Amino acid sequence: MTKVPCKNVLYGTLGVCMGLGGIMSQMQCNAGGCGTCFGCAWTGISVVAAALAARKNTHRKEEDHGAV
Amino acid sequence: MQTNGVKQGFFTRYRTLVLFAGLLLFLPPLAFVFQVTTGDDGFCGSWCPRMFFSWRQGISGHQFLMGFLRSFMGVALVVGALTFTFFAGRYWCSHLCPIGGTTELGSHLIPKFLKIDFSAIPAAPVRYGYLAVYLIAPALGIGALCCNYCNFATVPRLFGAAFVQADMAYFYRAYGLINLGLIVGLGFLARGGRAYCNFFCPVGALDALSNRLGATIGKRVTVSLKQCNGCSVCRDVCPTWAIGMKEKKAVIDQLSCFPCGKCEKACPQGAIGMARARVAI
Repeated sequence: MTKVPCKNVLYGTLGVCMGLGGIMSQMQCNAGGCGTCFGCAWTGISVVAAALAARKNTHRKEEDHGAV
Repeated sequence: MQTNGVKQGFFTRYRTLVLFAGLLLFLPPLAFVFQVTTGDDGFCGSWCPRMFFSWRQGISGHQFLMGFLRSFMGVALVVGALTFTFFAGRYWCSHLCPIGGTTELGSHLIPKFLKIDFSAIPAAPVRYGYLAVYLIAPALGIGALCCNYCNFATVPRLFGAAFVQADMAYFYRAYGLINLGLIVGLGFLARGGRAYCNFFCPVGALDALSNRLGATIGKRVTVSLKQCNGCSVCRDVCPTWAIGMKEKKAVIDQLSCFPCGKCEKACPQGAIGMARARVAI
């Protein structure tokens, strides 16, 4: 049985979180809840966290990114 | 300037011009494609490429198919792009898409020290995690992601905001601002300008799957392992961080690669070109 790399699961979860954030922001906006929007905040925080993580990683290791 | 002697095709050599042409064809104020076809003012409407394949809870099969009719040009665009990609590669994403073209061309205007390198984040898991929510959430009745975070709505409105008040008003709402933030942060400020495409575009996600599935049938960007010396110059120029190094050789992930030609141009060994890939599925 193939072992699923933890990194793929972690970042797949990030993608799922981003998607859920988008849905939550749509629901909140539809309800007229602009300004108290957890969904948009969730999305924004996720993106900022990802950007900070990306910036911190200045030493890229040689690795296989799911290569052909 | 290309010094490795590799001769690229016309559309790849002049890809920047082709991307500009895409901006003129699809984006305000000209938006020729919409004006001469359906009279829409943008992708929202019969040209919508995102909504038709989203099944919402409670709709019938007939209603689902009616969605295809409502966005018939979007269906044609996506089906055409996926089919073309399967046999020839991701030329829609790399050469024609006005959304990715805007962020990529825009990122050229941003100084290097301001840019964020997202290559440490594997794009495919994020992209398909997002696509999973995109497809499953409406079917479960949780909500829909079609219009929210829609790149095909946001970028045209960015151009249109200078001419039309309604487009400017889009950015007064919270999700308009978030979309703008995503385009800026993951587009203009990203190294390569394609992080938004790589993470959040459902059309691109499907296109990448088509690219991967058709890799043994059509030509793709591939590396000659004999000629590759592991210098990793190609990895550094790739806008979609599709190139990794394995055992001191460059390997290309066909789930992220599109034929922009940057790696081909940059490789000092001339080791990169278009050929049928060997794919382990």
